[in-house]
Amino acid sequence: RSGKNAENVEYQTFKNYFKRIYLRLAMALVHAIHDGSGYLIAIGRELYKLPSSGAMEKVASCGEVPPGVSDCEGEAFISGIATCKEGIVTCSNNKLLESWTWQGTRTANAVAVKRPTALRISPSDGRVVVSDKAGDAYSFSLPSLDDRRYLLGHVSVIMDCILTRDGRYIVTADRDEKVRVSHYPNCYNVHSYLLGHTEFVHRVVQTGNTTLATIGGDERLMLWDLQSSTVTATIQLDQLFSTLTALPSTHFLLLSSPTTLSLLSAKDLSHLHTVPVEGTVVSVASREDGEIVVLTKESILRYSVSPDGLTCTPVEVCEGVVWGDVRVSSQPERKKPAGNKGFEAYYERKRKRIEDETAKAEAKVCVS
Amino acid sequence: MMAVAVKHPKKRHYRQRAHSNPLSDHSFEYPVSPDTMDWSVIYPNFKPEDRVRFCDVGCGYGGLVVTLSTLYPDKFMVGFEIRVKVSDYVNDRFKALRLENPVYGNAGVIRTNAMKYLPNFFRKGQLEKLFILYPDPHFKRCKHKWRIVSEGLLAEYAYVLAEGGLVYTVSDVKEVHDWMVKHFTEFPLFERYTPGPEDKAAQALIGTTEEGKKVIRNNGESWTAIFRRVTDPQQQ
Repeated sequence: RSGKNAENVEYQTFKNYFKRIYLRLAMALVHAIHDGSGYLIAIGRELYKLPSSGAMEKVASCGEVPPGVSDCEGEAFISGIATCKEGIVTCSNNKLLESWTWQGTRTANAVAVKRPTALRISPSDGRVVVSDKAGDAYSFSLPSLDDRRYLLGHVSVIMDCILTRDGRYIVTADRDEKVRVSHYPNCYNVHSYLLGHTEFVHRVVQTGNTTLATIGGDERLMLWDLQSSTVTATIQLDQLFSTLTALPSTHFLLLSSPTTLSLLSAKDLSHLHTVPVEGTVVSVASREDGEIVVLTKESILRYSVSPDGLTCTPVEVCEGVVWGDVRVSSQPERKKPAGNKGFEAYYERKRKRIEDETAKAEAKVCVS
Repeated sequence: MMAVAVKHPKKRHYRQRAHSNPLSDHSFEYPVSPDTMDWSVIYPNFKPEDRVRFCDVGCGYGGLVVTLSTLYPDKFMVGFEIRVKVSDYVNDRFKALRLENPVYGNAGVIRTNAMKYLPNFFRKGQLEKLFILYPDPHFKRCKHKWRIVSEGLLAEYAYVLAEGGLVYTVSDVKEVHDWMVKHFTEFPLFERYTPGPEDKAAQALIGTTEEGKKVIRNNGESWTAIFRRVTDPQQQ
């Protein structure tokens, strides 16, 4: 075989072998501030604050590698934000962790072990928890970002990580369909595994004091009870949603795809509304009281959520925002391969071998 | 009527390279959760309320599981093996053994990746004994994450083991033995344990596996270490 035909055949086989779907790694994020006073918005390397009432203003520029710090590689856009009373923590795609005061001065920095996938602040001891691409989770002290402690490890990528509101558990969801609930801070002690997804699990949110919701590559939304470690409800969605957000005090769940927002009831997962969004949705954050902020590729939209629907108000963006920084890069997330042809050949050879042996044995018997 | 001699599988038909990447997706079949696992395809006499209690992680050609099967006839036990041909050999071996003597109906093998799927097969605290015999050393630094004993995986072993349950480890490589001892003893949920003479599994550890017999043939040394799963010191 040679020439164009060979290439096409190989490419088709390759495409079928790995059913690739793309979860977009957004270079922009919106994060709801812990005390409900507003939101932090990251666009590329720039961090802005959007208060509940008032204009958007710049807070800091992140991701700049200080001199003498090694091990930072990759493009420096903000990939995670966490907030607490004392200040802000950001992680960038180049593995740099930085802590900031609310006024925008940098207090400390550290380098994460591998590329971070989620950033949270633990309610019980105020440490910052980082999960990474290698499947490990670590915690760092705040605000100095030293005293790194290994918390736990999965065998594959940890796609999302949350601390429960009472600070007692850490929930990590990985690419191998597992959601692990471990005690915190004694994370070596696994409380339970929440098993039910048949593809990677990429979002976990807490919907109530003892309930969690997850979505995964199997396009299912599942509700879990933490105490019994069982599924309480499941629905099969019709597409892969990129984000899942909980609005706990309103008992709503919000799913977003690049072009739509869907509102569901958190109690029985019934579908309430779906609205189209102008632009490509990149990130969503919610406040307790039912307000959400949606970041698209070229705008910031505020929505107020009610059982009647979602009402949208565009937000006036402050000067100096460079929307071109919001390039959405495709990150292939592989579903499990369709089938391994390798051992079929082995079983075929084995079957033939046994056939030949039985035929020979029978021939001997006939002769004698 | 002449009795037909049972044909046992010959190892030369099942040779396979010793190393297999445990981090890649090999398209295994495994249950979504322990509740959905049908163990009766492996054990003909398995009832729904029965539980598998022993697991040999990386059982190779099945030497230990075959021996334990007769030592503990009332317990169900399983070997996990990642390599296709090797697990197929053990399957055929058990089929032949069971034809000769049905007592072997309490042991079997599953082709799977123990590093990833232990919690899919076993409920919390289900296992009484876990065996890690002659694990692949994976000497190179870049291969350390393929090692079957690591800080991250110990939490999974502690999860599937009942409190008081035992982990039996054996290696003919001193470095690997030291690595396992260090990791297990530093882990809060395990402590080093010396079983008494009544522990039949401990007596069976060295001479029963193919690896073990090879070590004896080559006048090598094997080191064993046993650990017990204890209560979390930090749990209220």
